[in-house]
Amino acid sequence: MFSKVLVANRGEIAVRVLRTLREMGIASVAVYSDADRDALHVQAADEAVPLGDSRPAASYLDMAKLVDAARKTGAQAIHPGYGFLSESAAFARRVADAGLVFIGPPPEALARLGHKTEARRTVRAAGVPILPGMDEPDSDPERLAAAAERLGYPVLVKAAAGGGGKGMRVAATAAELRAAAQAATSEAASAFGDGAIYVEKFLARPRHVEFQILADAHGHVVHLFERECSIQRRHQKIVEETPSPALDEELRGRMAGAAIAAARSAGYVNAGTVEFLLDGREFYFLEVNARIQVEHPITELLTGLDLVRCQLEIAAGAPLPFAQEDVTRRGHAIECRIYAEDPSRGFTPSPGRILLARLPHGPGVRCDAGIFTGADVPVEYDPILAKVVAHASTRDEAIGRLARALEECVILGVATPVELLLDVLRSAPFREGRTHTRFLDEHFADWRPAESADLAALAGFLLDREAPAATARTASAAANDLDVQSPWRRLGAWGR
Amino acid sequence: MELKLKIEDRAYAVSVPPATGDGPRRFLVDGVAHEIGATAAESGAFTGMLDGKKTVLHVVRGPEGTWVWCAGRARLVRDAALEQRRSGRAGGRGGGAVTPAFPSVVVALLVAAGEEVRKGQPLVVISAMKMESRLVAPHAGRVRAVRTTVGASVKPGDVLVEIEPATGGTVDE
Repeated sequence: MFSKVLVANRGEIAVRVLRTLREMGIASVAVYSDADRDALHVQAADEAVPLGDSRPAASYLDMAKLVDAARKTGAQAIHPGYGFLSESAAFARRVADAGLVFIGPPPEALARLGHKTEARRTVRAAGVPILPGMDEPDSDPERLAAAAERLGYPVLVKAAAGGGGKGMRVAATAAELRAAAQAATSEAASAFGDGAIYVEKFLARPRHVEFQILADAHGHVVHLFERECSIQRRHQKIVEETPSPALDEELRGRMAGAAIAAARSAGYVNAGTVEFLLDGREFYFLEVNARIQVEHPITELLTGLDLVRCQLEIAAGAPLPFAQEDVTRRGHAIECRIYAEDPSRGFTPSPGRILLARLPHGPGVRCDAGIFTGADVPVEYDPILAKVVAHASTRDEAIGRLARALEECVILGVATPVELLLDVLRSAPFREGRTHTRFLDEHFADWRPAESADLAALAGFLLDREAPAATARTASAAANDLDVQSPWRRLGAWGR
Repeated sequence: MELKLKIEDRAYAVSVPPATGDGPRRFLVDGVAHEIGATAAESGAFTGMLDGKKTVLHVVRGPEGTWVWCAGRARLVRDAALEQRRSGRAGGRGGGAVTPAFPSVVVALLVAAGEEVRKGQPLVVISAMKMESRLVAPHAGRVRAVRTTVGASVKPGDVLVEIEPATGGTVDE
């Protein structure tokens, strides 16, 4: 096993990885940009290397700086987290060329899976069902139109190099297709440096169901069951659960088999996720997320496994210590993502200073977070602040437990979707498991914060105003002193 | 004590009669009487009864107002009178000002000084937390000045582009 590992990420996932390193007795190195000098992940690591410039391209995406930091600190391996360089074949290659271990799949697998049409061809050859669509990207409007005609409208225009919903457009008619193709190409070109697009059949109300897999370097591949992530905003997940209310054992078995076949066909090693769209009882391969997923905690709670530990052991060359039949699950787990964004204004970003953070605890509750009272949420990076996860013996109990945890999850100073998430969890369609990827658009498009809760807020304002100075939470250090503070001078804010 | 408080775009007239003892406090919101009795368990954390219902509140004051958390529902309560005084001091911004709705980074400038623009034309592309959005011209006119650069960090109130109205007429505020 490694004796020192560098974590090339920030925020909650860096903190998460650092925790397992500490548990395993492995020394840890964090990296940080100027904007993250006081960030939680810096404080959670044994040592930290500054990357300078806050722009992602000049910090967390700068391969040379990261490899250099690992070399200088004597780290033997790099854990990339999710996002940033986690799925970059070039980075994986560069890390290997420097004589270090990339904690993730081999560069060849990353290259094959990173390109959507190539990934489709690869897994189809292994018998995995894919959505009807084009096998090669194409920019010629005539050939796109011919393909769309053959598939039947509506179709989905997608970026071949895509991810995160960027460069994705629905077209219901030939006229719409032209505009959609143009917009998708330019968006893909600016987001991925590759404007290649293709079309595939559009499903109106599919569920998003994915399978967690683990593959070691010795040819063993197992799955750790599914996660349903149908509740999405802007094609990004916000609520995830396992097991999926839509699967029975027969369907679960078929999908798990397809997931394992997909991983094998790509020469996959390490932890990964095979995503499918599920339409009735038919399922279609979507893509492979070749990294640890944001929503991995629900699988950890369900199976009792530490996925980051598994990643480290696989990267160190160890065989999987268990077989498929040893993997068991218990109960039901649900996760809500807390982003710094305003759900009543179209989920617009809400960066700023966290004036108060009190994260939830209690039986069956896990909260992975990268924030604390007084922390700044920078504009440069992903808006995820925390993930609140509940595990209980049944789905109903897990919903009740997660709602309780969200009520206790005090985050003030920036807008968050906690109130919307509570309303989603308590809504009839969610409770009945009637979820699909257009769930929020269909049921919560006009959602507004409840006016009935304003009275309590007014009462709070009055209580605070009349409270003697000793009991007022002025957040003076947090709110008024806008200078960057050393974490040592800020220790008073850590009583949580 | 009479207060005008705002939550989002909702205004509330709040009136608080003087305290008459140690019991629950009475207050009126838009003329309707309510009662709150609470103790501070710790700084800014209040536990008690609001109109006979158990209520736990977390309160913190920030630069924009007072934030209150009640069972998963966060509200920013602003003092309308205070805000009016502040905006009076800052002076009215010109109608042609283009400013971001949230802190962000400028990723592209789509116009230069002297250019004619039409209403709704994209002027600046900003990015915050990996989400890009465009600031558009509030009315037709000529770009008087571009007051930012690519890569600059900007916040609400910063004027990024100034636009002179097209016909020399007045601009709707």
